[in-house]
Amino acid sequence: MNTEIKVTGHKWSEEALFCKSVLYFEQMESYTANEWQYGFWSALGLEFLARAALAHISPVFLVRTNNSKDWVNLAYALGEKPTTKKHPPTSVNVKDVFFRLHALKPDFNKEISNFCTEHMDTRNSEIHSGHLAFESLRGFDISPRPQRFF
Amino acid sequence: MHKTIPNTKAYLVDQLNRNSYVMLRDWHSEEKTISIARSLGTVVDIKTLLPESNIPTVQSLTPSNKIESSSNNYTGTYGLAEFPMHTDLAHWSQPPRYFMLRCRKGSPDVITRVLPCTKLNSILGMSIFRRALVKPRRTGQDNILLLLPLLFRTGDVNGFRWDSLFLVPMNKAAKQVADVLSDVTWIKSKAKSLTLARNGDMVIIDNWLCLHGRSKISVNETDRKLERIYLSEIYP
Repeated sequence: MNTEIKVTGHKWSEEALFCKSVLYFEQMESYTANEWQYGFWSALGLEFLARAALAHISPVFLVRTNNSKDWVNLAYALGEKPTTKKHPPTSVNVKDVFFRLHALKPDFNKEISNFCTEHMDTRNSEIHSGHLAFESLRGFDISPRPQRFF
Repeated sequence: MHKTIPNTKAYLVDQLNRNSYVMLRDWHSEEKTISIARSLGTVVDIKTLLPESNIPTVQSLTPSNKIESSSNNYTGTYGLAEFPMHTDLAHWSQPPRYFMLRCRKGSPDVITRVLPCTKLNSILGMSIFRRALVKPRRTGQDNILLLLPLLFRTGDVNGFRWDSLFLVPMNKAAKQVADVLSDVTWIKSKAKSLTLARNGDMVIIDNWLCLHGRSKISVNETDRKLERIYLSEIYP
């Protein structure tokens, strides 16, 4: 078998994203569900797990495509070097990750997609406001819902 | 069109498939290392992959004291002392599958240790390997730092990477692997000991399935000279 050799990985590769989700879920597991950090790390782990799932189909689906200038993101996803340091490649926001997964993989159903989106809302509230969002969510259990898909 | 070396080629492929390494004594010692490598498989052209590195396709390995060379390689860091068990270019996203070490000036007292990764299965379960994550010690091209799994998969082959010099364990599973591989007594009891004693002696190692290391070198063996070539494929 002729095996490919790669010196450097890709920031949007399934492997890099999945490894990051494993690391974050391990952080989650070091807490109990009664601690706010459990929910916080679960949200980070879930985001990267979802991005890895999309990259598994193709890193191209991680591309942000809001306007015509976003072709540079597409070029990056396809393995081209970023064309300018001023505008680093931008990937799609996490809610669109769930939307795309739902559209591409029917097993990622509405129930799972809604749960993931709500969990990201909690994360956004935690990191973008003074609200202790995960403190209010103590006792929460991430395991049964997205795990069925991932 | 590659040249086929008769008789021993089938043996070589069979041994590689069985043991993940093959040792050949006094093998075509009159031929150039690059010619032998090209006849056996697809040679990795490091100059093309890393043009700025100045690493030649055929690398000449000679022992030296650590003060004489850089700390960015094994000789620079360990000098004449023992090299810990590792896989080559483990910090690459996908390291080369095979490498060939060919003796140009031998030293019968220097041991090359080879440890098939399957030996690790007896003390660490697969779930540990699957979860083990590391990061390169330094950022790579474009200043990007990405996590790497110790166990990677391409097609139907599981590959394993480990290097205590160039990789940093990032989770508990990786630290467990690091602990086992720092147990020198255990390694010496499980590893195969090979000697590249004469010109033309050669070992080919499956870099995805075996770790390797080197014993210390005495001051009167510093004229040892090996040549190394990476291969992405061994022709069947």
